[in-house]
Amino acid sequence: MKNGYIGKILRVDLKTGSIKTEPLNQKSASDYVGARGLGTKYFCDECDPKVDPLSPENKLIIMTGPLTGTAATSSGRYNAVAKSPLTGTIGAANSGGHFGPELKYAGYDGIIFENASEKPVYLYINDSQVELRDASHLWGKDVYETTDLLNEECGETFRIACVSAAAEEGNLFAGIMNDKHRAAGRGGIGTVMGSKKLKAIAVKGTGSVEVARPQPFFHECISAREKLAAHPVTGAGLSAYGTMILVNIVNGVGGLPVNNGSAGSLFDTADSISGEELAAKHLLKNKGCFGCSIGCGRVAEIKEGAFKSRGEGPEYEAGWSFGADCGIDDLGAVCNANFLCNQYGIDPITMGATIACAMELYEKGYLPEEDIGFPLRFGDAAAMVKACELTCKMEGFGKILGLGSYRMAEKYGHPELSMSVKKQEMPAYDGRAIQGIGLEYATSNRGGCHVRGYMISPEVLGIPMQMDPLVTKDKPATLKLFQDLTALCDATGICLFTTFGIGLPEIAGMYREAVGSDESDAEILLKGERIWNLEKRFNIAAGVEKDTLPPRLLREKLPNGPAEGQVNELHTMLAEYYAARGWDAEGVPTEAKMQELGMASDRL
Amino acid sequence: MKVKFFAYVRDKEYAGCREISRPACEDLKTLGEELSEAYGERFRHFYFSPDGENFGKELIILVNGRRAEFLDGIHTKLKDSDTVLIFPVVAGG
Ligand code: SF4
Repeated sequence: MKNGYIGKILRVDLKTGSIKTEPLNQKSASDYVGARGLGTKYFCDECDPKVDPLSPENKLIIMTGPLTGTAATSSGRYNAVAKSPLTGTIGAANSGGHFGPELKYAGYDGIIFENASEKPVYLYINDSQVELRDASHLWGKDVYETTDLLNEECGETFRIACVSAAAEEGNLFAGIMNDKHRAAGRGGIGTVMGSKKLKAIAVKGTGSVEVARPQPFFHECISAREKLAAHPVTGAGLSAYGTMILVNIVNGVGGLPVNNGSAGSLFDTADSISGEELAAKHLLKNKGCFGCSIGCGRVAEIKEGAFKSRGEGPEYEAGWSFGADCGIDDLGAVCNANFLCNQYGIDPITMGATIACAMELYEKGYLPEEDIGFPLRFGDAAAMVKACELTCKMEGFGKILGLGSYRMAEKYGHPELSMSVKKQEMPAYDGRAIQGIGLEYATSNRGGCHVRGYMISPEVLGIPMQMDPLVTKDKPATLKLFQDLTALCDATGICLFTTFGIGLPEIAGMYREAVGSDESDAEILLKGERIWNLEKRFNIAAGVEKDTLPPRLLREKLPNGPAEGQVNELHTMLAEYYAARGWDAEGVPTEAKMQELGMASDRL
Repeated sequence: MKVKFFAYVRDKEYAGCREISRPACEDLKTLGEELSEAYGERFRHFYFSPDGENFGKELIILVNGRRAEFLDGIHTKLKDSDTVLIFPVVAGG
């Protein structure tokens, strides 16, 4: 096709082994764009919201966007969609690297996996040659081993997405790892893949992606790239320091949660786990995804000592989760734990935050040392890395940690100590010191998450405008706009980090020329809102708990820092947010809103 | 008063250090002028807008954890017990 899409979907029944291609549903593609949006649309059309996430009836959908693999900037993205075993919400996880573009070059916009295989298999895709192959020899292997073995078997040029043993063993926050180091990380999407006995997808393609209006498209792409290059963040900052550069500034505003948030959000030794420190001491080189001029990825090495290790990352979130959240200021330990998560394909945000929660349970006497097997105190770097490794391998107490903090804390009688929303751990910003991000955590359609509406941008970084983190005014309407724009950006197949330097006009511009549409910016943004509403409707039908925050954020005043004495004022923001969304007081999308979005006759 | 520098502001072309302790000066404008005096023109261009009356657009400045924009801007008064943090525009996530 000549509209950014390939026009074909692979449907793989893992039980019968049947592999079919079918035409892409163009109406759904037009309404829901691609990747996160289109994957969710297919999922909602085909799957019962009440499905047990780890049963064969849950489907796993891999979906690219119309810009994926084109000349559009940072367009290496795909999304993996399934019902999340961690949260019970719609689970959509976004990843970069090169896998997504390769899938399109092989001739497919996406893959729908149905049912489960009896024996371990992997999907081999070499253009039109598509086969399910035996993966018994790969079962139990980690991400690096699996990728290397498949590259030996299929060829060096194949792009590999796989899960590790943690996913196979039912760790509830395992991701799908592609190109070794890139993760569709959150919500246990890899656990779903493991439950289907689908070890990996190996893909190679020789085709290309054609767009509707090549000249204007190219022009839009160049102009977006020029804007990114000229912006201090996307042009220089992210490549120089990576995302860990945020440690000091978030700590500066008193928003970096320490010791599971129990010790406030001001970490005295934050500088020792900062992006500056990483760049000065451990950085080997930068690494970027397909078609990305930003290149935020890090390759780092801890050259000596107890935490000697090498790998990619850490990102800011992992820097915090294994660092300040566990009371640890040893960057070597932080890197080591992060590299383990990559190697074993698990989400480092949930991992670190779950260890932090275990540390609090342990220190408060709720979690006996016999259960863990060793003391697990805040600040103990070696114990933190050990706990991480046990979870990666799903051994000993790692099996409990592998349930995530909510289920673990519930088991020990104190679920209120899990810093999670809808059972997914909140990331590295305290919603008491930064009000709008608290609202984002509470309302995110996949549980505690920052990348559904990144309010840190206006509230801390001043991009694209500046909002006071301590006040609630105007936050609900701004968050709604950010969430809709993010859904659109994710759905097109470009990286969310581009939005530090470009916005709706540029994204809509590239989309329009790629797909050959004459819709206005506002009409294109409405697709983002449609995606958001579909996700919400799925969650309501699935019976997901209401939008709220852990009691700590609502009732325990911050003990120190610039936001001392504050809690998150969710109750004042939530009603305003629902009103801005056109939902009723309970947060249910109204009939009028469904009409406006053209969703009234949809199944969900 | 403590003044701390981050990211490339630590480089030798700018402050060339992580942190200094110094007596308070009147306000953030005076601080910018004194630091520019010490660190040179590159720092001045970073700290100030071209007319010297406001902050440069790549500067983030916090006084005791609050962005100057939410205080008195470039005229925010300073005292000995204050901590000033100076960042370039950064982002991540
Ligand atoms: S900004 Fe970073 S994560 Fe996004 S595409 Fe570029 S290198 Fe990948």
